[in-house]
Amino acid sequence: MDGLDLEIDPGELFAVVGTSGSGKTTLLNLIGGLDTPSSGSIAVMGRELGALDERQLALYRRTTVAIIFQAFHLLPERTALENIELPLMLQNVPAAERRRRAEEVLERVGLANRADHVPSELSGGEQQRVAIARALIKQPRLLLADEPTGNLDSRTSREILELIAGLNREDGFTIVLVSHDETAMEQIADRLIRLSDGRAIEERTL
Amino acid sequence: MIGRDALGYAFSHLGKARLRTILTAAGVSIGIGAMTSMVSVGTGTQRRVLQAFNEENLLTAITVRPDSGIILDDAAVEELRRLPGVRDAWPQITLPGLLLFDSERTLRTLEGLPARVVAEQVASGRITLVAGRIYEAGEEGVIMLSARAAESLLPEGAAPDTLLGRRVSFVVAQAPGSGEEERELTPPGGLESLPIAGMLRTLTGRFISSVTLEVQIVGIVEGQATLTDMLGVSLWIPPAVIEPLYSRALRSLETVLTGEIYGGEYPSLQILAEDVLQVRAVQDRLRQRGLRGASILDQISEIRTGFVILNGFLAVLGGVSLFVAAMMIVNTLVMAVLERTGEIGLLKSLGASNADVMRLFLTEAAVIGLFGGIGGLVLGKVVAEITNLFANWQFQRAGEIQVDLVAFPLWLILGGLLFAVGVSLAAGWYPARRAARVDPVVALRHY
Repeated sequence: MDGLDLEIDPGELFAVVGTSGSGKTTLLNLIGGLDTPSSGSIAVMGRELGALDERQLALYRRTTVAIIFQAFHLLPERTALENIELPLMLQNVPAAERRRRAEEVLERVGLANRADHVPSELSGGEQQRVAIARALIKQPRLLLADEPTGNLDSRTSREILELIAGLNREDGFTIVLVSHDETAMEQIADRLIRLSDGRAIEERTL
Repeated sequence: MIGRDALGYAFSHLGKARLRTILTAAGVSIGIGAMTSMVSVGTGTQRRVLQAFNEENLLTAITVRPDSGIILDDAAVEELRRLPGVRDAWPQITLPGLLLFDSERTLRTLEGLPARVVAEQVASGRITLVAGRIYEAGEEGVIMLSARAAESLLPEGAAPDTLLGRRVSFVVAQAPGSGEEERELTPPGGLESLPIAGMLRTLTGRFISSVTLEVQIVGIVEGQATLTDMLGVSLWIPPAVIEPLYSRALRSLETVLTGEIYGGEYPSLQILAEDVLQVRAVQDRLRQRGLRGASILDQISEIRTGFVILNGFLAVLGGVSLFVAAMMIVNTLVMAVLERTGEIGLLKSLGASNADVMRLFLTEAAVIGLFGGIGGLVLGKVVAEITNLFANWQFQRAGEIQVDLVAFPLWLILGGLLFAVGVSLAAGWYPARRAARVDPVVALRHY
């Protein structure tokens, strides 16, 4: 990142586009509390991430922010429902409540009938829906998606992007969406920046 | 992440790498097994020794035999009684024979035990008079039994005092004196009433007679007064009564062939030391007089030397195998960390703190340790029992009593498990730290 200065408003669907190596993922890792900036600052909901220690940062990741990955990152030996429950396990939510909330979000992403399947029994689109459900179950203030359709065919990609756009429009989630598919982003995002070598070379409100 | 979830998580991972987990736990089992069997046998032996200390008579008893040229006669007995540290001394007079009671016939050993020894031991509480009375010095036609001996005569559950006043017969073989083969043996003086039960011509042409002693049970005592019968099945009679029979007692083939009889001379004496601590000093004084004094302490220390060697061997084996097991745990978990780097990154992205990740891996280490510990306790018990069998087989060959040398107290079980888990946690520390320090950004890139 190099001299990047941006502000994302609550309830916004904010798209980040750019070629590989332009710094999109680094930006998400910084906002997601996985990485810390060597200089400069990031504040989420008024809290300076750089000032948090390891435990507070973990708490931030556990409660405030959720990330959806390109490669889904589901645990292969666990069922859809168990994968979705993981964040609540880290929050020490009792098992019964975990199960109930997991079923709710699985319903929301339209996969209620696949609850007991392990990832290898699911299609790519279904796996990404499970990953989205796993992000939603935390009810995060900030939802980050890193090339969520990068591993999917175009039809499935459209469905997943519609699901994400719906989460923004209908459920009011603040979303930062990283993609190289600028056309698709233009259709769903409120605002868009283009990154190149860690700099914002273009910023548009759509 | 709370404990139960961490445990579930650990189990699911260990279950995935089942063979690796089992092998690692087996390593812990061998180490814990060697250690617990060692402690078990050590504790069991110690317990036996402590129990033996309660039987003070056994521990303070010294059996005296002459080395060569020394004659153990009544004068020698009197001299030894006056030795410092000696509580009492008396000739060891034992007669093997056949005990007849109702229709029972049992091979037993009749022991001449002075009335004063019995009385003193009852008075000092070393043995307890359960029923009846103590015989008088030189009293004829009476016998005292130990509670064990009484038990063997009585039907199941009958009270020992029902035996009081009952008559028993004791048949002893008598060797012929040299040059007296043709003469019919008459009972020695004072025993004219004893019938001579029969005469046998032996292969050597000498006569062996059998004498039947008719006696009445007058008292029953609990506890062991002498070393004569380690199992405590004792039959006591005033020494004066059987001394005449003893001089002609058929003791060995040698007696039959040589016709050698004892006259006023005893093959061995029994000494009781003042207390356990005096035993060694008394043994030294006996040695100065050309006498050998054997104490059960000698055997105990012999047994203990054996166990020190065995325990040392097991301790080294246990230590080495536990060390190897710890290395196996380190290896297993480091492998797991490498294999699951991506997963660790994901957990961190979902909000797991370093402490959470560390706890997951330490839980896995503890689970391996727990299973290894359980296996180790089973293994330890088996090894201890085998050691016990082997030791008792050796004792049996040496004509010793059978003892249980295995102890598995609760503290050993809990201690073994705790130690196994502790060692595993210590071994798991490094891999768990390594897991905790995984950089989620790097980890997720390679997921």
